[in-house]
Amino acid sequence: MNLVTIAVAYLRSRPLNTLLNVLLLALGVAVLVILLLVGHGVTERLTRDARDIHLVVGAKGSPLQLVLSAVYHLDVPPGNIPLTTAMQVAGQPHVRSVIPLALGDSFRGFRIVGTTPDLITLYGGTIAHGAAWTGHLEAVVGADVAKAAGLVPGTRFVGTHGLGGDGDAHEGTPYTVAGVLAPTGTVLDRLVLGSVESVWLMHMNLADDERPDDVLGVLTDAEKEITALLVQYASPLAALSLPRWINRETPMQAASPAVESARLFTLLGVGIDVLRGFALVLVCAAALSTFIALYNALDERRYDLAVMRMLGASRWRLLGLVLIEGGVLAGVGGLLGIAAGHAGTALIGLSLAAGRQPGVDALTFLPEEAWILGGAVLTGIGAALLPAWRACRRDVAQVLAGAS
Amino acid sequence: MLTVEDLRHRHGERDGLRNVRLRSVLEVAGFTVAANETLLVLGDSGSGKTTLLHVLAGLLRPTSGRVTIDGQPLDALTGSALDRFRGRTIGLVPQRLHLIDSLDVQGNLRLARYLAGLPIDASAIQALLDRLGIAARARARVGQLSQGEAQRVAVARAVINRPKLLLADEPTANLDDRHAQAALDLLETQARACGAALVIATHDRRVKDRYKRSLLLEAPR
Repeated sequence: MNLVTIAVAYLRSRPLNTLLNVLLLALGVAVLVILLLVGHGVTERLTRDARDIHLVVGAKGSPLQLVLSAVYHLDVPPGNIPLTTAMQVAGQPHVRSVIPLALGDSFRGFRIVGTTPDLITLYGGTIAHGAAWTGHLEAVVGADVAKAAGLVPGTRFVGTHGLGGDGDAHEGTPYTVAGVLAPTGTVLDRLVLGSVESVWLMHMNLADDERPDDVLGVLTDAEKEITALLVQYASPLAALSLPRWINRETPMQAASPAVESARLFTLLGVGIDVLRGFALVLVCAAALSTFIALYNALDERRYDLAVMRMLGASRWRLLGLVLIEGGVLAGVGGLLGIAAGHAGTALIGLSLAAGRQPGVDALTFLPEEAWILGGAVLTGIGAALLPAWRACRRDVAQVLAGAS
Repeated sequence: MLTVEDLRHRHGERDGLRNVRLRSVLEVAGFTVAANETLLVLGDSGSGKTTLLHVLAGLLRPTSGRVTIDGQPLDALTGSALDRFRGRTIGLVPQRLHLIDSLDVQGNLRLARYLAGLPIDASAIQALLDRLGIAARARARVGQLSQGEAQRVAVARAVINRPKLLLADEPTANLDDRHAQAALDLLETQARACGAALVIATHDRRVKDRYKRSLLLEAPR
């Protein structure tokens, strides 16, 4: 027996009151934990997706839109750019490599990206089954796509126009799966990859007797368009001159994923701050409720507390006991809140996964959660301060005499 | 075992809005109760019986006079030291018993050991409950006990630390003759078992003849 077991016995003897205070605090902590986990998951995912892309080049328009469409595949692209113009970038100083992207079609909501195998290398992807594409209208599909659509090497599928999944089907130009990628934990898992030419072919309404190579041969340079170019610098010096050159000297724009995602987080930050404020209000309400419960209970428990003094407890033990009651309430509420926060994050992760959005991981435990728990316990102890002080100051003889 | 010298206690009372008037609530010339001896403190309501018990228990510091228990003057102890001395040396059975209802029967006894800073011996607790005939109720909730069982638990709690002084406040209130005698038997048996001095405060004149020594308290003028 110790003060904690005595405190727990008391709290258990008033289950309704205890439950109310625990739940109230758990609710606030759960919201804080969900914000923390989702924020962490999204940030980490977005950072990983943009890790080795230094610059995105695309049609003029919103730079944020360009980054969202070409790096994260979350938005529609601002427009197309001529391949020949885009490839001028590759010849600029301090540029290590460029990866072209041709967007515009999708398969069951997953984007079809016309590109080069360099994109797979960029994300460290490896082919789990089959092989890389070699010819036209062959595709390598990401792990999530293969799983969702049940694709294996050899399967044929038809892309649809647009990114939403409800556009016209390109019935005349079905893709054949050449390979399936192993999971990478990046946006690559949700992409269908093929050659840039395959994307062009899909939009040319091939007649039955036409051969792909013949059709592609008639395309003029002006007709050969891509959507964006992912650029890797050979040296940081490129950041000084290249974006400026592109924006000023070409009909294209350059956008930095790092700058744009930082801007995105600033925009989202307002909403997150509001939610966090709401969660803190809940925590404060829980603290107030704990305070009121412990304070009101002092009268009802005055004999219990007086009897403890009679049995040899010092004033300070009573002070400690009531503080521990506040701390135990808050500790249980905090732990429950963390559990509920992870469960809530798992639910959010499921609904996000269904929407093909960056996933969040409910099983990651972050060091910040220990701080939230510690803060919750301190809040509970703080709420118990005044009741504990009153319990400690009370005149035992007066209480016991009042009863007889 | 218990020595009381010239005890007097005054209590501040508000008289009107501003004046605090000191009213004398207890005046006792002095007495001694040896180990295994019983003193009956008789008096009507308001005569200061409970005040005397609280002074003897070290819960209330008298305005003047001295209480010495087992050679230890209470006025020499303060704060936590006094609390600890009380927990280990003095057992009190309050009139309303005041068992802790969030703990079961044996939990109430464990609490008394723990708060006095003494080791908790489960078999000793069970043995005491056994002697008091309530061993079967060890795990019962306090709220489920009958009045007689509750009183036995309160006595067990008062003697579990083998006190030198056992105090009982109105132990026979609301009991019929037969049960009143049984309650007094219980207190005496347990006080003897510890070798404690027993002080029983009551207004119940039925029990007067039973004891050789009694102290009649009258409300001070």
